[in-house]
Amino acid sequence: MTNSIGELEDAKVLFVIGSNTTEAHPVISYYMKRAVRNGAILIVCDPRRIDLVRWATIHVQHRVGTDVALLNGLMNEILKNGWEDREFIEAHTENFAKLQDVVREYPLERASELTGVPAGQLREVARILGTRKPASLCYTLGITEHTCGTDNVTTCANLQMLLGNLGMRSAGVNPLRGQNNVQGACDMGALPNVFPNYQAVSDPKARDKFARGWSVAGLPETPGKRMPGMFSSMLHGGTRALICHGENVVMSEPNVAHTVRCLEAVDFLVVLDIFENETTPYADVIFPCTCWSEQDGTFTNSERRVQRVRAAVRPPGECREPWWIYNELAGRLGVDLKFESARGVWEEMRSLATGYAGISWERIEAQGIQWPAPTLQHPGTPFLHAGGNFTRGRGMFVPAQWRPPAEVPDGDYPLVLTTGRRLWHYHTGTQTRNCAGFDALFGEELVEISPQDASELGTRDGDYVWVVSRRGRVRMRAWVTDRSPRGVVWSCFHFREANINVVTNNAFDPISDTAEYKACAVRIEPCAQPSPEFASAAGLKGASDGS
Amino acid sequence: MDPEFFDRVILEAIGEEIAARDFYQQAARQMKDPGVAEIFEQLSRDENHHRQTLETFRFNPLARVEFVRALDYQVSEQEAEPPFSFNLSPREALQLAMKKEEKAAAMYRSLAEACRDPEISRIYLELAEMERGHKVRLEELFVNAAYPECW
Repeated sequence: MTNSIGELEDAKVLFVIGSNTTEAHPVISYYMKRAVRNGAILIVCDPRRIDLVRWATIHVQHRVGTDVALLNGLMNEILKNGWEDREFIEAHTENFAKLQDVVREYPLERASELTGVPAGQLREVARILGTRKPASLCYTLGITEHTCGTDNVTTCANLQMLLGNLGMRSAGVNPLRGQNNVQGACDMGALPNVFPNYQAVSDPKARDKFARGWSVAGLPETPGKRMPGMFSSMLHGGTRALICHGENVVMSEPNVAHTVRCLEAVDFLVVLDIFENETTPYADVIFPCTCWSEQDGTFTNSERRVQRVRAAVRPPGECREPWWIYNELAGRLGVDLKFESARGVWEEMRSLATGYAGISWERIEAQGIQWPAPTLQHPGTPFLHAGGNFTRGRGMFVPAQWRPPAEVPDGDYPLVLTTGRRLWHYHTGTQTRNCAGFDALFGEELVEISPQDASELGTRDGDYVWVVSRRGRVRMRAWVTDRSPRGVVWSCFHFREANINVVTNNAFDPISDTAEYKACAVRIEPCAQPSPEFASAAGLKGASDGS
Repeated sequence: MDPEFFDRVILEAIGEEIAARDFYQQAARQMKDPGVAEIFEQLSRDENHHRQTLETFRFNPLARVEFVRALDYQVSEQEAEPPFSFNLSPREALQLAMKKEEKAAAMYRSLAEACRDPEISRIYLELAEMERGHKVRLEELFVNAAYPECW
């Protein structure tokens, strides 16, 4: 996030797009609700009538995969009325003329036609955005999990730069991160092209610094592969060994059959996780890991706040802290990482990543600090780009043209499937499906179908149906609800018995390699007879174990 | 305080600001990255403004030389000075500039220590504070620009 979670409640406008905040980020949703109570206008852009819509002033129900068209249409109207922040644009941005050229192609009528949103509503949203400040833009995977995910993100940034909503409190471009420490994992360099703190592996100075810091030679000069590349190359002998750490890939990757083929092809698979799950049957070695309450360390949340966590209970059996496992593994590979504690790992991070240098173990004893905090005196940075200062000097408008998802409905697969998360379960269920209480609250996966579609299909609420795509089929009960609009069905990947990723499309954004979980074409078929469980249907190992 | 000596001190400080202004002006013309050139142009304008501030003190005997104490997080002190080149990045440009201000503040503090006249010593310390203020402002810009979250 460019800004802080607490700042949301002081925004004049909250523009939430592609984020089912109350279910996926319930704590952040409290700040949004408080903002509404404080008089903020909440604009929710989502194809589904998600829970957050109950607090919204305006629900923009655009078609799945039309975010760029929607945002370009809004920018067109903002420019048409002179609502842009000219001073900010002139002082702090570049490539504005190119942006104008592109958004000129999206008058409200065309934007309305592409998105399905009435032109009058688009006009009203543009007016609100153009006349009230500060506006905070929040997005989540509804923006990124598309083959045009990068275009979606840059278009969000274009809108906020156009309005001068950057570098100030309660504004900004705010991706809400998906896990408690996904921000921290990225910051620590768990990415194929950067060392900790986003120092590029292609930068000789950074390589030299880390080589000296780690007492090693020959650090790679070119980025490694991202997940789709890693997996596909397993089929051709490219990637021969894989470590999956806290990533239940059989459940979480799109097109389960493809994932399984890749795992079966790889020579050597190591899994680090807290429980056995759908991926562990494919592993050659399983390292049992501690979970959050059993380990010391830090988590860095969405607002870049580094927070201490502490072991509260002893880990069971042979479970070990991840840093210990990697230390031992490296030792056996001939490198002494010299770690003796989680604090040691953190101290190394501080010494090699100056944005963290001021975040000492002692300073975050009681309260986390938001990076950058380059010195021990520095209080941390609640919002980035103060005064319109960007990393590259001026903020670059990167305009994008709308393009449809990789797979769109047709006669054989007439419905759009989009996927997401439920409040009651977490991700692939490694944690929450091992807790009987959560299953008591929500114990079975459902596919949401609009009343109109259900009526045409002859499907009643609670009927078992097959969700079928070009990649496979999965059986689950239908939930007939107007949460999903006509032509759109929706489900999740929390349940091994009915994992929607059997049918999702392994098509990826060309830049980020993020999969298009949010849009593929499916059909719904009746399912009269009891059918094999998901694991058997998908041909997974351990299928007879059930869940 | 010897008024002539005061005048000399302020004149020297003005000279330093003019030299810095000219340096940034020259640098702006040489930079390959237009964004960095723009940063240097702005810094040149800032130095000119500093010069004008000092001239106010010189020509207005009633004005007391005193600068606001900036909250100093000592960011510059932990950064290395990048060698000057035409290929500086925005980050390096700001690094270079804040190191220059850090050095200027240190120079005035040294002069204050070496000076026997307490009033002149105070003036030097104030000039050190002025440079520290400039450093702090550049550090703010640096912190906002130096830690990209991109991959």
